[in-house]
Amino acid sequence: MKTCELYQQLPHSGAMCLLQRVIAWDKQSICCSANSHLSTANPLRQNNALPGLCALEYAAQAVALHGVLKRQQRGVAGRYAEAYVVSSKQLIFAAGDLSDAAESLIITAELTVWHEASAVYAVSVSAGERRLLQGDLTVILS
Amino acid sequence: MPKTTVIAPFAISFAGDHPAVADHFVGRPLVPGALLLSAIHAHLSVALGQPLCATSRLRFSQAVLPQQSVRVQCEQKTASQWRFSGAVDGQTVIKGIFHSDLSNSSESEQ
Repeated sequence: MKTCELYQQLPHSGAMCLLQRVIAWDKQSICCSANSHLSTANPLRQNNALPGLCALEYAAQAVALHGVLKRQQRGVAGRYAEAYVVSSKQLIFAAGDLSDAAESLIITAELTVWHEASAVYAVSVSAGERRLLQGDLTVILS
Repeated sequence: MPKTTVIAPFAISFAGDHPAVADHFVGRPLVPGALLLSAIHAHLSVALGQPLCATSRLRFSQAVLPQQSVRVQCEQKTASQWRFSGAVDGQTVIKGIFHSDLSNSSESEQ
């Protein structure tokens, strides 16, 4: 299934659908790629740069797509109306401009705790050899 | 006792026609948490004059609507840690700790 079709199961739309491709996924994890960090039309840009912490939104969207895929696998109908990050114990991030990274972003999320309405994921965002964000996210999908 | 850096409170808001807000989400525009957090990070990095490279104990406790003014307060906790919180009409919407070095950034640190 195309990534844009997966986004139809999420409340995000337009340019806020940041991820381009689901490279691989299974019950526990997902790996996605994105080139939207290079676009001057990226909606998260501020002061002509894409702040490093915006990698958090990329990670959150990978988690949301994983939720959609898991739900489809279980045969649950309907789309998610809400998708939120509620907390994080720790995030380490590169403070520079994400759009300086010429390579595609690779976004991974690995499930560590799953409840029906919330989940904890270990996430990372990298470009080539460079790690741009690493940490954990607790998310609510409903 | 080492000198404590004092950061003046400041306010952040995003317009309803901000491109990130308009598409997030369909029919219910909300300020993306990453956008709010990165705006707080940008302000504090400049105010402190040093890079902040990690967060801990981050909580997004309430959604922020476009045009709502988030009043941000920040206090120095240790030589490398700054505790911050953002509130709308007195209600906390975001809080956490920024770190200027990678040691001691785990949640268990007091």
